[in-house]
Amino acid sequence: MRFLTALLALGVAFATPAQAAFPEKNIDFVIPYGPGGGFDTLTRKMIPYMEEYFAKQGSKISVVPVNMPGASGNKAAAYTSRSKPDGYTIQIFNIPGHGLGYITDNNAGYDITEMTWINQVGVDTYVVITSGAGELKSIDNIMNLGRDIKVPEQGPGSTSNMANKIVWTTLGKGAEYIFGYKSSQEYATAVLRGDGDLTMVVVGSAKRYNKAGDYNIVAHFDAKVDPEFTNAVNGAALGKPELDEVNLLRMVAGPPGMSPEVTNTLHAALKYAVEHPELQKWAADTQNGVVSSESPEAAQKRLMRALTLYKQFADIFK
Amino acid sequence: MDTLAIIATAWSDLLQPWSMFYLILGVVIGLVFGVLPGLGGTTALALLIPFSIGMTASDAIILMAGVMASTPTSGAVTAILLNTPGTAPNAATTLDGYPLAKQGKAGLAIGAASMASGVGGILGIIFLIAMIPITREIVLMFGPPEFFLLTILGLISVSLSTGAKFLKSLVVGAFGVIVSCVGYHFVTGEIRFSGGLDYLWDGFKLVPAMIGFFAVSEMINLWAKGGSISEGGDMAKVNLKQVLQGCWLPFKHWSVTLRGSAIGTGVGALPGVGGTVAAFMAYTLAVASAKPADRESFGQGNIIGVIAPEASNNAKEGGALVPTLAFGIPGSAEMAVFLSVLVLHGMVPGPTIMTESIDIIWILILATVVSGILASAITILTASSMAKLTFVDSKTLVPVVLAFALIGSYSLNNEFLDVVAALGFGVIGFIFMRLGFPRISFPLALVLAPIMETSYYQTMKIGDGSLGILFDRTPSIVIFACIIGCLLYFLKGFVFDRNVASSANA
Repeated sequence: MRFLTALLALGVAFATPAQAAFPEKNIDFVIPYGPGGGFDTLTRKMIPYMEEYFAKQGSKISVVPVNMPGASGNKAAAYTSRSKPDGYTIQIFNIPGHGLGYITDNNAGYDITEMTWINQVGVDTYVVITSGAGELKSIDNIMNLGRDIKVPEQGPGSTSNMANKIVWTTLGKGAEYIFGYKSSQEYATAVLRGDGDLTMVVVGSAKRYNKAGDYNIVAHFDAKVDPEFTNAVNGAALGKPELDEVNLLRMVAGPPGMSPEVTNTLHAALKYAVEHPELQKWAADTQNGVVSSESPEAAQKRLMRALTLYKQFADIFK
Repeated sequence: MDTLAIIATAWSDLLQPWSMFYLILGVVIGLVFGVLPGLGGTTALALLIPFSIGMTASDAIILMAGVMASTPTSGAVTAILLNTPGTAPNAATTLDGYPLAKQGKAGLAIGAASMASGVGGILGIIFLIAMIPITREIVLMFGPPEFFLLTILGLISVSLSTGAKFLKSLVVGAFGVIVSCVGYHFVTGEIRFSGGLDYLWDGFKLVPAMIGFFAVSEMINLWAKGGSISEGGDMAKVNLKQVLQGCWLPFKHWSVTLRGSAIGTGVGALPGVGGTVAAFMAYTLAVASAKPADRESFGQGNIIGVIAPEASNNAKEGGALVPTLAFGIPGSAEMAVFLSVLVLHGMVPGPTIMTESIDIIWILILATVVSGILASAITILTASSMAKLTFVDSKTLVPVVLAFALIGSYSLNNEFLDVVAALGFGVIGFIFMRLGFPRISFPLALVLAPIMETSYYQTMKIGDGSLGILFDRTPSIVIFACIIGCLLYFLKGFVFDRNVASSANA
């Protein structure tokens, strides 16, 4: 009997084609924006550590950054969603920016919820900044301003614009948006110049821009306000704890239908990269919020929690 | 550590063997990418990012400085030889550079352009150092109202630079404005005039449009005409001696070089508008300040028309570093990539970079100066060989240049439709050429129209729906006065010329 079992096992072993080790060839890492900028920089920073991880596993392959700007990142997402789900095409996503189609029930050429989520690689919370030379030194000052606030911004559908709309709608303050600034640094400078009253930037950027002490940081939407922002309040203190869930996620996914084995391998490589001490030091030095999720399932849950929150505000994005 | 000690340390770091290797490598890569139609500094920097990650911060910055300082120098070569600006800021150089090439004086023009570039680059850096203490004030002084007026000034400058063809130049500019309207609209989020094509979601791309409008149309024209680019002159005279004669000219016309460099640094410091406007402003001012008898020679092959824009577009590198370093606001696509290199190496551009990373900033400054000199020297030494291209028969030259141009269009995004766009713009450019419309305002309109639309919209929002804000701020009043000055200058020339013509006919 034991002999028969062994024979059967041997037969099965020969009958089953050998499972090819992943990865066998180079991986395209799609960046939905042009060279330069936060998503591009973080991806390029992670890539050498991913390659180091694969090399340790015996796969001497390259991870190739592929910049694919266009249509606010939707061109790249549509491309990735149509790629073969073999793990050789993955992409860094901007949440909620890439989720706008899902949130507003508009077809963006891909279904964000159907992608294979691999890892969360970064999270940034938002702060409200005003000019240090101006009169708006607290949320109370802003709420008591006898007119709508003017907010310099990137454009409709940008992640910070979505955050601004949620915050000011929830707080009941009218806001007029001045679009057309190309980056958060540009619209933060616009506040300093007096083009508008205030704007929202992610916490790391706020710390970078405020090294010279030019800004008032009046709110930090996180469960715990950063101790560096002594005058800031959070959503909970304003009686709107849901605002502390409004943030910017950087997540990595592949096309729909990737196998669990490939997904887990990629997750491990990304986790190795994100948690690498050198990358963590770089993240701390440059004020980038870099963090890995525990598993692909945890990444998927994080995504759905964010999308559900934003979907409650779908009407204001339409 | 005092400033002199920091400079001495930076200089000693730059002279290390590996640092010099990266500097020379950057210069060579920059020259190659600058001279090939379609490829430029942005592409070169983006391709080098992965290699720079393993380097030390100073080596990475030296490599990048080498590329950035050399691409505008070689970008002038195609502007002169093929009437095809290597990059948008080289467009003004075609106005007199190409006529000189047609006269068999390409060597002279390249010599003058290279030397003007080298000197302009150095002066730009000197201006940058002088501006460091007032960087913040400069950046905060220029908001949407100033940008809106600057774009108008830019479009008027380029049209004025075409002299008698002012109105025809405006028509081509209007065509550029229409082309720039295609694609995603930043206020409404709508896709305009795309005809349902995904390719046009983000509008027509600058590089294929430029390649088509200049390189392809020029090659169609050359093919139809036959012969070679040089219509006169003797190939034997195109030698190092001619090039060296050209090298002397930026010093002979030192006020033109100095003025071009000052304009390049000042205007180059303004994000987005920078280099291209600066080059045309330098050109227009050179024409305006020339003796009346000499003015007609502009556009026909006046060497001053090469020196002014080339001094300006290299000096702008120093100016563009001001907002990039001090605020983290990149002045151009190239600077955006450079910015990411700084961040990748743990540096944080912003008001404190001048204190926290001053050693690296000085390495950047010195590397830019040395690279500019090296790039000019290499271009000067190879100019006579390159200039002989203008004597090559069209049957040989056209297929080779077309192949490079179309491969350049394709290689930027691996997008076949970019090649189709380049060919389409080539045909349109050829029609404009045949009808006697100067094509030069097209690239400027393509670059400036989106900035004009954005800054107009922002100005109206900031001013609560009124343009009165344009006259509330000193910088915008000064720019407005410059616009009026330009228009008066045009009207004066127009009336004066008519009077002269009437007297002559009488």
